[in-house]
Amino acid sequence: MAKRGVQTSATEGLPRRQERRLIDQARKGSEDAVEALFRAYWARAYRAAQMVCRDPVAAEDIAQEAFLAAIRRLDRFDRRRPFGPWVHRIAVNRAIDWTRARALRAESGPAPLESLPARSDPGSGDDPREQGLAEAIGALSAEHRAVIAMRYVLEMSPGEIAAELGLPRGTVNSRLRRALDRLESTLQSGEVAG
Amino acid sequence: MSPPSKLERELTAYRAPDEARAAERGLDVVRRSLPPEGQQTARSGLRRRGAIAAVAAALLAGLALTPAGASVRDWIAGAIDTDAERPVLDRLPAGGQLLSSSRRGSWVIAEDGSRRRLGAYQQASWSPSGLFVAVVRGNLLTAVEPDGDERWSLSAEGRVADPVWAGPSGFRIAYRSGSSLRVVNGDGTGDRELVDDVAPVAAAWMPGTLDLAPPFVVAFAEPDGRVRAVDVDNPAEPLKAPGWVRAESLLWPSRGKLLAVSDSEVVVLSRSLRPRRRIPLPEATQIDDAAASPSGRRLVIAAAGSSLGRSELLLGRVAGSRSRVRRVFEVPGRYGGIAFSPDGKWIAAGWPEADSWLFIRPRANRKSLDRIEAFDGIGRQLDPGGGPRTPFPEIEGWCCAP
Repeated sequence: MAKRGVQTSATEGLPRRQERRLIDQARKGSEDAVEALFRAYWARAYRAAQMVCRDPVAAEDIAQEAFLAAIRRLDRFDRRRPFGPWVHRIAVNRAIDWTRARALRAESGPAPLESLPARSDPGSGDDPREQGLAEAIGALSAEHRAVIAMRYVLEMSPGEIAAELGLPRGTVNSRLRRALDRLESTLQSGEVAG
Repeated sequence: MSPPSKLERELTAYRAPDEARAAERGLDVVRRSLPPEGQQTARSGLRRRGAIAAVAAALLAGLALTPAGASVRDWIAGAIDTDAERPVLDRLPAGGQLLSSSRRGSWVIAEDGSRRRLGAYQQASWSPSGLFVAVVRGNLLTAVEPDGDERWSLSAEGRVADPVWAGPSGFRIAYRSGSSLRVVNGDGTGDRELVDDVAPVAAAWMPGTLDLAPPFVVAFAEPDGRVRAVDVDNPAEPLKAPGWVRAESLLWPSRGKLLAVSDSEVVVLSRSLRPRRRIPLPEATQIDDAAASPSGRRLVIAAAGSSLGRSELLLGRVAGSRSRVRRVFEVPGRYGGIAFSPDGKWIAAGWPEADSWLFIRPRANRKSLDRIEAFDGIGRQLDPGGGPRTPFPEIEGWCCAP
């Protein structure tokens, strides 16, 4: 396959009929179909994973493995359900577990890595507000980052988030509210992490 | 609904660092991880390890070639690093005694963390009151006391597996010998075959009483997973669950109903094997192990995780109007045995890849957090003479306080 740049557009996603056709082709081993699904859904999985675990390198691995896990289980996948949200849920759950596992290791290991600021992309940062937003998100607690990622990156409803995390919907709503308030406060005061 | 705020719009438009280059790297890994075009991916199942191993090898090769892959290896290596100082298993978080087995033998671990090796056994199972342990070695089934003294032993025709004591009396033990299901009295007498062809699934006894002559009914799975139950002392026509009920694991807690656990759901069955409730499991679950709390209200399942080489714990509420399952924890590798504490408040889970035992106390309500305690270096602690490749002692059961 000739390599093409992978677009990371905010309008990712495929029409349902096209998606089902690609899934059928991917089940039969079509690399082109797998690549099309990747281009449609991987970026958002990566974004959500990075927002939760704050480590771009780990997020990249998590998003890769989530996508591959979904592809390997296509034979069990119910085509009537949307593929993208399935991949995204795998990725964000993995990212949450990674964050919890690292916190668990940090209890008996050396200095916890959670205290390090998130790495920044040398290519970005032209927009101070965008840079500040990334750092403000990094300063949130893991629980708040998770609900923010699921709500605004993966576009899950509060009810879907509640079902996924096993929480009451009210708890999800209050976590979202507190996270947004915290972000607003951080951005307005100009505080940054690290 | 009010329009999104500026902040919410910015969050929706959020981009991760180095996103475009990360996507290119990811696509490259995916391309190299796929099987040759036209070759269908084998349906993975609990026993089909060959195809999974091949894909896993391809995935690991991909990880080894990317800079990102190095971080995953480092994380896994860090998780199983045994050089750092780790907490010693000096107590159990709840009362009772743990039972554990590796290739080098079986151990009893007391509440204060002290341990006693029962002998060179491969599998072990507590009697209902913890007074005896049924242990397995090859085609031998033996009953021993918790200090290792042998009470009786029998030699079966086929390899012995999954001994299960009938509770609360302990007057019967069901076990598999080869592909057959057999039963023996608690004192070692009356060994006999019940069913000549069953699935490799541990049987489950219907909770009984301490009557002198209660019915001893045991549930088992046929080779295709269908659930049956038979009175071992009056083995007339077995009870049959509906054909759509399949089991990869059978659990019958002392105060609960029979649970048939499969990859897709948990079916709660009555004593006559009639389905009472169905609890769906997450998409594409692959059951590895399952355990129920003594009350029967909670269920924990160890399953293959969202990607190869990982396992997750699922915690389910069985009773109540809203039965549901949630994910508790996912780890690299697999879980090495799971068990509820006698009080039903803690879950013990072995984690071979990290040489650790995890003790998890599920949150009391939705607003609190799960509590997790980890003890590392378990292999060396239980078997200091085992050498650098000490096999991991898997958790087999957690019994009542003596």
